[in-house]
Amino acid sequence: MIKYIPNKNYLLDSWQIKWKIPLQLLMMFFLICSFTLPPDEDNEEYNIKAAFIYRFTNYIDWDSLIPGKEFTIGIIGSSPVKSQLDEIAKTKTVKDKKIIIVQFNKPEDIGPCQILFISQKTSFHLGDILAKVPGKGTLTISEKEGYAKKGAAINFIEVDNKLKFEANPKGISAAGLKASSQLLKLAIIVE
Amino acid sequence: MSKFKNISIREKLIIIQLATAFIAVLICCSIFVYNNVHVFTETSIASKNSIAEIVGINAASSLEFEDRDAAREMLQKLKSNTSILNAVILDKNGKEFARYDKKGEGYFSFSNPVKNETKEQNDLARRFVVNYRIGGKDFLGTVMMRAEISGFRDIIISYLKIAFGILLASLFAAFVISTLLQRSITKRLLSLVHKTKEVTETGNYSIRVSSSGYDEIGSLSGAFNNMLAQIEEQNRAILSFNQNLEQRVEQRTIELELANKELGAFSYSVSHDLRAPIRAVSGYAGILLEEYGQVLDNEGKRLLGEVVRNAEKMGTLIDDLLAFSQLGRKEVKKSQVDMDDLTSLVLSELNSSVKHHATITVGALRTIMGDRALIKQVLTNLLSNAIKYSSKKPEPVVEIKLKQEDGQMIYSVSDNGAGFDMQYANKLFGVFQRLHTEKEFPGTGVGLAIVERIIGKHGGRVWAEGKLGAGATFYFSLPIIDPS
Repeated sequence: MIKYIPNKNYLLDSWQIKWKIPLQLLMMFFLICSFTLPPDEDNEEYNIKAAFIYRFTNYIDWDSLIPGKEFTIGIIGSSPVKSQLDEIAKTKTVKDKKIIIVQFNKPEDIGPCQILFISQKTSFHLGDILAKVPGKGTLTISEKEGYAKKGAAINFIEVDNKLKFEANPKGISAAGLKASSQLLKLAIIVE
Repeated sequence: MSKFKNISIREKLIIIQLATAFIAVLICCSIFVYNNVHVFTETSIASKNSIAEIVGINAASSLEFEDRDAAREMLQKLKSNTSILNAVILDKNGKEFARYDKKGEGYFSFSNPVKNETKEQNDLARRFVVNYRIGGKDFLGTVMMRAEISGFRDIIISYLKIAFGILLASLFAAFVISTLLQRSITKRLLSLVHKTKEVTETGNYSIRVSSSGYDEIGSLSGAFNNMLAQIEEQNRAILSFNQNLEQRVEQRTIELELANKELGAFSYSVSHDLRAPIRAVSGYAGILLEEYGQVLDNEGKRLLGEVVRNAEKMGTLIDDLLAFSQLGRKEVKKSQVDMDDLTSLVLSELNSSVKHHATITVGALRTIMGDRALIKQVLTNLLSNAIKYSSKKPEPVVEIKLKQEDGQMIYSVSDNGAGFDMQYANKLFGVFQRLHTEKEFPGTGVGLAIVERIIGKHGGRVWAEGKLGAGATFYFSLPIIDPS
């Protein structure tokens, strides 16, 4: 029985020698992949978020609160959603108005806009941001647990690995806007 | 069709009206049922279309925000509508987004449906699929819904029941109405027929149809009445014409009889009045010849003799004429006459008054009904003629015989004397008609006329056959009359 052991080791060694480099290459590939995948996933998520933001415009009534000929979407805090929204702005319009995407760096910068997207990466407090939102006509959209309760009109959340959104009817009406029942029935209502 | 031809007008009218009503109502009912089924189907499909539209409008946000649960939840609400079997929401790429299948109905593939499903239904429960496109400009997806028209069979059956009810009710109504209305036609028509029969059977043309109304039957009745009136009028005219004719015939007969009587009276009085002067001529000429005969020479005597002879002849002529004219006024008194007896009596009288050498044979002559004196006159005239016209023969033969024929007694008197030409046969029996001269055979030409008149009065007939120089046969017929 003992007699056979060296042979086995030998065989193992020879297999290892033969496949060592391809295996190492494969492992490296997976490793690289595992590093590069999260941004891809992010991309997909923000792609949907951008689409949702655009589609919200179909279910929110700004009434006559849109001055000028442009529909402005502001973003505070850096977010991958910007590039996605830029893509949408190239081809689509909202209520026959051109879509403009504006990046705000701090609450003081926030100017008039119809939608304000509050990135989860922003370091500013929600309260500070909301305080700077000018008067009426701005739909605030956030993406952080509990923000709807804290005053954001719509807040993206994840439920069972699916993108859902909360709606705060008080916040919506406080902004002088009306949300369609078709939208509210899909939203998780937060008081 | 010939059966239909023979049934009464009353039944014909009812049948025609019922058939018309039946066809009209049948067509109406068919259209009604077809239309209602069509409308029901259309309504059913339209209602499913609007449900699909509502589902689509409500599913738009679910599609936009990719909320399958919300879409599924919404589709579940279709449960309350039991006629909806399956429903799906497809996204804009045609992929199934959410679906609903009625409990017990099972999966239905909308992308590959059973072909011509709507036409396969033989249980009258039609199934169909409706579609709705979600989103206006921006196509979001499609709602597809499969549903059945529930209670289709029940509804058709109820429609058929209603149609059948209407059919029965209208047939009944048509029957009642036609029975009532046809009376105005048939009642009058039947009365017309009845009256026509009555007229033909009784021959009473004074019957009139009570004509009413101005329709065809009314005018027919009027025409019938007019016809009857005309017939009646014509009958009256014919009747009065007949009466008139009878009256006229009667009148003419009376006139004729009167004229005849006058003629008889005239000829009698003429004969009677003529006799006296001719006797006077004859008598005085005879006296002249006796008393003053010696004064006259032979020529004078001969001429005077001629006067006497002609006067006597004229006397005989007048006597015969008188006898003949008397016959016309005389009535025939019929009794049984034994012709054998009578003939032998006549012959014995003739034998004593006329010298002759003829052989006379007499057959069995039997008995007849007649006026003895007149029949005796006939026999005397015929037998004396036969003896007279055969007297110049060396062996004159006279024969009297009887034969029975056609219910008549036919007597014949024949001789082998001078005879006559048959072309003058019709002249023999005229008054004063003679075929021979006075010199050849003396006579007045009245005898045969008397014979004809007497036999005529007895209802018989006289005729003669003869040949010049070979004798003649005179026939007279008498009807056989039962003595009783």
